[in-house]
Amino acid sequence: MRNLSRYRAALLFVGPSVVLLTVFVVAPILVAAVASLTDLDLRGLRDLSSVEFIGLDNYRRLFTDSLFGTAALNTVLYVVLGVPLIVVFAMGIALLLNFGTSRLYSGLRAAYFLPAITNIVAVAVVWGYLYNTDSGLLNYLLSIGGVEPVPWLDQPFVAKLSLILVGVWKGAGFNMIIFLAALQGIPKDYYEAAELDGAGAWHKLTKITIPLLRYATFFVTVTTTIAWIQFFEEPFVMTDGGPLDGTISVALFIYQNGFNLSDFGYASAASVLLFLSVLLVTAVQFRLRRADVEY
Amino acid sequence: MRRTRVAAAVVTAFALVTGTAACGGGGSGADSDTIELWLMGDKAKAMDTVSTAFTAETGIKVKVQSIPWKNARDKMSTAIASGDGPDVVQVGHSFLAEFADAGALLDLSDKVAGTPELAAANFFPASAETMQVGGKVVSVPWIADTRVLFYRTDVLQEAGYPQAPATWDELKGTATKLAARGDGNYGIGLNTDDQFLPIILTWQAGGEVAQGDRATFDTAPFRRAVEFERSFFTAGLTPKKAQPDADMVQGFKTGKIPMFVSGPYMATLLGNQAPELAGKWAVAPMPKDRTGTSLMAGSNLAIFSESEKADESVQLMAYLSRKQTQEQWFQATNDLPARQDSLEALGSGGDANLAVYYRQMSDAKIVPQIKAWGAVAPEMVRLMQQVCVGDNQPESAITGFAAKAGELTGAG
Repeated sequence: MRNLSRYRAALLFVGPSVVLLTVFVVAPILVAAVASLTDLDLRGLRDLSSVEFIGLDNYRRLFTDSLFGTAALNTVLYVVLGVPLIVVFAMGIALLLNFGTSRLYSGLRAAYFLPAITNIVAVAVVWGYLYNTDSGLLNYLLSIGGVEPVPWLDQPFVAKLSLILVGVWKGAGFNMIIFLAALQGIPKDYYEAAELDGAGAWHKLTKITIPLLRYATFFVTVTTTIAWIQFFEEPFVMTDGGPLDGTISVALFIYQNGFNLSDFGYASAASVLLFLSVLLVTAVQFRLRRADVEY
Repeated sequence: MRRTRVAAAVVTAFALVTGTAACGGGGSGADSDTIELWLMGDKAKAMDTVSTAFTAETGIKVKVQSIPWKNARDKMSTAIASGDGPDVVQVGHSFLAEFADAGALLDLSDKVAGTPELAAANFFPASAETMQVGGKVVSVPWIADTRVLFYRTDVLQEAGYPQAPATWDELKGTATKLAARGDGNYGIGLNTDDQFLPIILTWQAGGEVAQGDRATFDTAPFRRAVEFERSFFTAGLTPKKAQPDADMVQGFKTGKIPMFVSGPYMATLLGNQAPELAGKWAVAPMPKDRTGTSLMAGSNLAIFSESEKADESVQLMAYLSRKQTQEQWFQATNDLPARQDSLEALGSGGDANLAVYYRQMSDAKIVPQIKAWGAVAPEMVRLMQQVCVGDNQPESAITGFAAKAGELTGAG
């Protein structure tokens, strides 16, 4: 009891978020885990007695479902291409914008951040126009240069890249802000010392700036990876997984099975696998980070 | 690209599971003489006019809530799980079997028997078939929809066709000649995303797509149907990509896509987005193979099983099913009435399109009312994409699809 009163202030601060986390994150995960072992469907929602435990059948079904395989492969591609692109773009933009503080620069900063706060449906409509094979702006510009029309959203592989482009465009701005903040935290003395030693711009960038952006880079990489593993909105609003399942992601697969087909048990099983893969990838990233040099 | 979606899905699942235990009563229940009505799409305003007259006649008030089509399923799932839904709900044909199976729709057998407005004979026979699920009447037809051939009269005339093609051969011939105009012009706009066209073509070839509760696609008519649709793609008579309605309107406007198969809602869309085309296009019944059967789609009205105002709800449904109300609703929304005599009367008013719809709906069938059909539809789209724009051979792809569809429906 004495211990409890000692920590009262701490508990008071932590308590609410623990409660919220339990109710809205931990409990749902547990429910999903239980549901994934059942054949829960629309009828089961009304009449729980009609729900049956079917063990690991849903998981077995997932491993033989070629559509889930396609979704998983697509998701891997999204992560493998999307994460590095976002890190490079966000860092690159941040480095360039860090050169100045004039009105032009703050204007540009706002411009790059804008996609992050733009409604995805509006984004989808506008990008849909840009990507239109016959009458889109992008193909029009290409045609001026004499380039054949690109089937932006009409060919499975190209459509994947097109969605990644939208995702990068939408995600880079937010991460740029993180890099900018980190850049401003690098003490100027380091650069002065390096200059005294005769270091050029390239050396300052690769030996001081990028190493000291480590924390920011790590944070951006981890959060971006999690976001890309759960890549959903772009294929949901722009392609609905098509053409030929070329853009379906695991998160979209879960949505389609859960909400379009009311196959809640099966969707839960897929979401448990998705959750575990996020957990695993993040754990690996933290592990690799531990081996890092500290500055 | 956000975790919120998946988190939201899980949270919903949780709410659904816990909600079942917690909730008892149904309806909004606040006002004793108010019934709650869920409508799909953006029709609340139109309904307010209609319901005012209903309230004046019966003293029963109606509270309308519009549900976007995209959310229809989510909303109903939540209502089913929590037991907290509307009194009357508009249900699309494709949801009927599943909602009825979940026990979400009240058994109306007795009530319909005592209400002449709701008699099956009032409606198109195909629409009336949707009333019963598992031997019980659970819904009543309200809005009807079908598929017909849209064509540019001037473009076809110029190519030497004063009339719309009436058979499969004529359709193919016309499309071939129209595509031969070259210069990015096509003959017709077919959509691999249209899950219904292969079914319609199968019916026309003299086949059925289900037997009892099981989907049967490994048949000669279905193969003939897929082969026919595919031939338009392989011959370059139709664009090889999914075409949203907006693209279709655009192609129709420029004459690049002078024909397409769609529903009456496209006529409304053309009227709004391409008014300058008026008089240059028309609709025709589907071209025939062995028959000219088309699809009967639409939506019905049902009473949510937890409703405490079943009698008042039946009164509303009866009112909405009156000949006059159905015509009034069409005037307000362009939704076609499921009542035969209403559409016949509207069609005789001089609008040639309405007369075509009436003719086509008299020769139309419904998609089999099977609970698992929702899972077959995306497989159908997948098949058509594979054989029409992908490289898959139709023979093996159809066999695979038929097996999968049989499995999906057979188990349930």
